[in-house]
Amino acid sequence: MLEAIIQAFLVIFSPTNFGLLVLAVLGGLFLGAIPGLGGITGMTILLPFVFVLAPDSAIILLIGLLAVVTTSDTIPAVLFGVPGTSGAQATIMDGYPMSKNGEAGRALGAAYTSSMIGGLIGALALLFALPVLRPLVLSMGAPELFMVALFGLSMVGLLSGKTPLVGLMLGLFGVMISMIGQDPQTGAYKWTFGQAYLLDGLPLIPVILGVFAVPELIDVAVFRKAIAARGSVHDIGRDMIRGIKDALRHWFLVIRCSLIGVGTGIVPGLGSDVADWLAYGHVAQTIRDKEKLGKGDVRGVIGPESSSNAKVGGALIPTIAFGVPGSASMVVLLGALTMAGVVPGPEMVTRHLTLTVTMIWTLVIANIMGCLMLLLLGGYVARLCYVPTQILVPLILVVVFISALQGTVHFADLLVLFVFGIVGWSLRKANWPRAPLVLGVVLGPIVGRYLFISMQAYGLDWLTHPSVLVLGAALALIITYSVWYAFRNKNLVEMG
Amino acid sequence: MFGKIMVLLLILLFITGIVTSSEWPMAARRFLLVAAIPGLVLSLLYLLKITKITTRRTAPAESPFNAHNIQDTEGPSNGALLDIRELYVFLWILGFIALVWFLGVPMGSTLFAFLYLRLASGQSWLTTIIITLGVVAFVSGLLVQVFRLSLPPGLIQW
Repeated sequence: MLEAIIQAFLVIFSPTNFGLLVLAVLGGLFLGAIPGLGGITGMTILLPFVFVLAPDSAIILLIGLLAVVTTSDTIPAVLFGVPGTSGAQATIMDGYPMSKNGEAGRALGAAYTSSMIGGLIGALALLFALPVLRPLVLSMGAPELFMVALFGLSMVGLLSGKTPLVGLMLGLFGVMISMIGQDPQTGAYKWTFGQAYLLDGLPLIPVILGVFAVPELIDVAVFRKAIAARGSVHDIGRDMIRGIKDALRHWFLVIRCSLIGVGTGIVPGLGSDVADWLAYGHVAQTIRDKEKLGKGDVRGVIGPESSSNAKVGGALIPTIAFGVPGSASMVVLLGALTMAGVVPGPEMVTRHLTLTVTMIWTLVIANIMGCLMLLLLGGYVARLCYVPTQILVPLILVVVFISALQGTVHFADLLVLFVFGIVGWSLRKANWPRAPLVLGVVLGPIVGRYLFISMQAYGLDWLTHPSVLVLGAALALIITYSVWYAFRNKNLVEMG
Repeated sequence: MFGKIMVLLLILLFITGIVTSSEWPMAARRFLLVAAIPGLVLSLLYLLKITKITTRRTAPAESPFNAHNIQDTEGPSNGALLDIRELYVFLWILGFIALVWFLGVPMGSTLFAFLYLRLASGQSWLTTIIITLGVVAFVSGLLVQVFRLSLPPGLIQW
């Protein structure tokens, strides 16, 4: 383990990887500061680099970006009352009033510092989880891994908030989509329609970009957002030191809220917004003098910000150990790992242990780097909010197109992008979750492979393995709950 | 209504999947059945659920982050107009695909950026030209010349 820690440290500080990390952090800070974009859009655009770069470099790029998005999303939340991502919703409660009270710099200083500490605690949680997970994951055979993968698929229901049944349906449909192409085990052609393009299956990049990035771009293009009018960013540099001191003074609150974030991240389906609000609720419950809360109390900023950054480390735990992603961004990361030929599960704590530890180092360094950049360049970064998003639309669309074309470097990649763009947009219109569909496409081949191996090795006997029975019972419980929830909830009428 | 159409479409796709897979070897088909049959059952249950319900239609929970909350520089928005705008954006994307198909990525991207900025985004000539030149530098300069990124050629070779 110690060897892996040192090796990963050297990997991350190689000139190329460190340069990539700096770029990723800058990209993440930019995306976080502009509402409507965010980490998933950034990660999907970066997906093609997974093919070009070595797996460790690609992971550094993706996690580096994801780690700091929830740091800079505070800027529009505090200054304009508009969260950069859903993970900064609760920050508005006290951050925006502080800004109105002339304490924007203090709020941002406290937010950046607590975000950084939260991110570090998330990384530490991931590090300490590894020795615990290692024997557990290594004890699993193909049948158990098949059941865990199925369990992961069933968790898509939980990723779906109020519509677990819809999440399950879409997850299973995603699995069906993943079957397109030549079957790796039997060689049979499945829905290839005589097209050579489809023999290797649908390329993941245009699928993910279509489902996640295209609907966001349409949203940005349609609403013609202007986040702030010019001149509305006041001098925010002065009070930042005071905010840093605030965060350090309330160190115990930072730690508690960070642990809430880690816990929320481990449980699939609880997004950044949940972590954010849970932490805010914790602040409200535990502080004695509540009069100022909601009117500009710095503790109302510190709590949610520590939590939302710590969540990333927590969410990585089930993703890399079991292939069960805790959030939509982890679904994209899982897709990236798969494309890089890295299968989540036992290999992540054996063959790819260095890669796993590289993720931890990336979290640590990206969080520190992101915080320092924002503290030093705070005022300038805040001016990102002036950028008219109408200018960004064609630029991002060009990048999305070029990224999609890296799927197979075939013109048909753009058609896949367009079709899945319509699919993603339709799901959004119907208020259906998009992550389960993509998770199905990503996990489909893994589930299929484990089923094939289980059947070849054990016939039907594997169904009677005790661990399989336990996981099967859990699976049945989740499905039953999803159906029961749908029928019980009278208000859950047809969405959209 | 939209949700109902989506469920019906899913049901149709699951049934089509099950039927059309009948020619596959059993080892390949087994996995499809493991996914499609539960998918079909769950979709039917959901359809039953949404057709049965006659209670009032509830709006999705209001999120503090909602695109509508953000200042709209074009003035107040309404639902119908937005749908037309969405259609326009899709048409722009289709147009971009056609441009790439005909002209290849570097030229298609340049032309798309120029036209979108000028016509859809209503930017000034100066802004349009500066940003378009930025796109040329990024795509033709950085990606094609420096990184030697592989891109499919267009119908018309330049």
